[in-house]
Amino acid sequence: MATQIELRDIVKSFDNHRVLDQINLEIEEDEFLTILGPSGCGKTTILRLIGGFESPDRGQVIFDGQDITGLPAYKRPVNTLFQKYSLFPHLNVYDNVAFGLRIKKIPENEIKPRVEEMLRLVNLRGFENRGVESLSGGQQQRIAMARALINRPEVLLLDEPLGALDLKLRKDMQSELKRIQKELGITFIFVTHDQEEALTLSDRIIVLNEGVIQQIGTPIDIYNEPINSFVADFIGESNILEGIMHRDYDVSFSGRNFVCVDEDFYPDEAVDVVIRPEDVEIVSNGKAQLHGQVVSCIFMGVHYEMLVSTDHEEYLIHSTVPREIGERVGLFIEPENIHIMRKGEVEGDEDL
Amino acid sequence: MKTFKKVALPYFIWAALFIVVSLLMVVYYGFSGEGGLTLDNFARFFAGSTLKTLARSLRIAFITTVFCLLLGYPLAYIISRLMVGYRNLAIILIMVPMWMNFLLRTYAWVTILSKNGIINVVLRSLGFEGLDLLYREGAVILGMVYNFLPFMVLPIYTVLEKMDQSLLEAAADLGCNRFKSFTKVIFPLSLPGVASGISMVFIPAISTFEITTLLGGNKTNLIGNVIEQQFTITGDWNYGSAISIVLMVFLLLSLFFTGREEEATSMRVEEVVGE
Repeated sequence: MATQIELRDIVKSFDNHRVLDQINLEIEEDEFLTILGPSGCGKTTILRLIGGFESPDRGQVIFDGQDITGLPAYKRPVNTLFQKYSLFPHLNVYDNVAFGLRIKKIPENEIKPRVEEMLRLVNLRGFENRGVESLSGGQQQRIAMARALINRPEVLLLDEPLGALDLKLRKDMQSELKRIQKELGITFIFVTHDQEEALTLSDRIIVLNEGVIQQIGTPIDIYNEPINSFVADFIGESNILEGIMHRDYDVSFSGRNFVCVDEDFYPDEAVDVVIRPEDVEIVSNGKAQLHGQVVSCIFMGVHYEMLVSTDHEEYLIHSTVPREIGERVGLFIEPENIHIMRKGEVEGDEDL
Repeated sequence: MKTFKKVALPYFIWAALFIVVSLLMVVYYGFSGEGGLTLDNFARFFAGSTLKTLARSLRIAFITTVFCLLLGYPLAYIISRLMVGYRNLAIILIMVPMWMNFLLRTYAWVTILSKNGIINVVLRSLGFEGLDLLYREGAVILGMVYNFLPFMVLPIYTVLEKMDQSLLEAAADLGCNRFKSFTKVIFPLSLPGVASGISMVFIPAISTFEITTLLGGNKTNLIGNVIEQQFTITGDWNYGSAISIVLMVFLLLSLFFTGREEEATSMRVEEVVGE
């Protein structure tokens, strides 16, 4: 796959507050890329830089090898799906969808079939003459999508488009988005703070925090091999513990030594140890590495979420078998489920 | 709901007394004469020279409204694009003259336009001949535009200022340059404000008599002057009421054409203006 969009050394500040710090990013053609991070991390700013609504203080935006840093929004071959939909309230559904083509002076007899095609794509045929304010949130979102996609953009930018929808509708729209992206075969750059959404939809995820790219990778990579404790904590729930890496495959935390599968650390380096709640097994005393007492046990649907307090810390555990509160239990963690992280490491650090 | 009704009672009495009753009195006077109920007053109006005065009033009110729109829209647009602090300052500057007495403001123009007024003094000192500016239709229109311009600017400004900026980004995203963003999105969306401004200028412009008296002398009589004279000089209340009714019908028609959308905006503007 070819590189379509490239961000080079992007720096952007608002009121002396650095929102993006040295962003380097390559976006492949036709991928579903998600920029994931907590609110205020700069993810929307990256999208707006690509869309042409902001210009960087330093750095370049490259599109298909051309520097488009100074190109105004209306000349860029990208379209945006705005967070608040931003449909034109003075136009009906048909005129909203046809808007972009009319600006390009495409003849009406060509516009009509394309609007119909788009409304079919977003499952809203027959809505042509409705006023946009009479539509539900989900319908408005679909119309906004039709309005953007009718221009046949090479890239669609999606700015937290599902944030305002309720859970059920959001699930429906997620699969809808994925279907549309597959059907059209164009690049989607999707911004969200919802890690589950990111894991479900994306080909690749960029985890962003405080204007710095933490990690880039496939959903599976990022979930299984988070690069630092921030990513581990943000993507799914985790037990993050202070540990010491004595030598290769030998780490100590929670007051005892464990065998792990990580190597190449300094001798006795202080590290973050990340263990997923589903990776902590509750076992009989003979096999146990740690002992603790059940503090709480909550039914979550598929599993039970338990807190077990050991001598040093509390472990969050997911298990399908409930335990009584106050019960003494033994804990066991497989070596490959112990993830060791250098403190504060981010994407690209190992290249230095 | 019952307590609400009790609280509303004084306002209800006020409205009944000063709006409904007085309106009914005007209608009664308009349709009555020496010998009881009659249509004579209207017949006299549609036969006589007052009809020409009405036509002239409509024309002058129309010209005033057009000038106010041509000046007011760009002004409102520019103000709405300023930074917040400057924006409020500009709006205050527009409103401050309105806190001054209306007649005083209009008198100021007499001293500017009159034969020995500021403009003519300056012209003569530069060696030009003085101009006859006052007591002409132009002076009346100038006075009206000056007095009623804020009523055009404020409703349009209110709409523009409240406009969702993300709509402009959406327009840019879909290929609109700044000019097209204006013609395709900003202007159509500001039409309720424009409609509101038009009726807020047109209605006082067609019924004013103070401005014509001060700046038009007796040469440019408008319908408002004729009505005033019927009550203050001639003492023919019946005829005056009849003309008022005709004028009211015209205003209702003009309101009908400017549409209902503007209601919301004009209410917001009244909060700002506080009159």
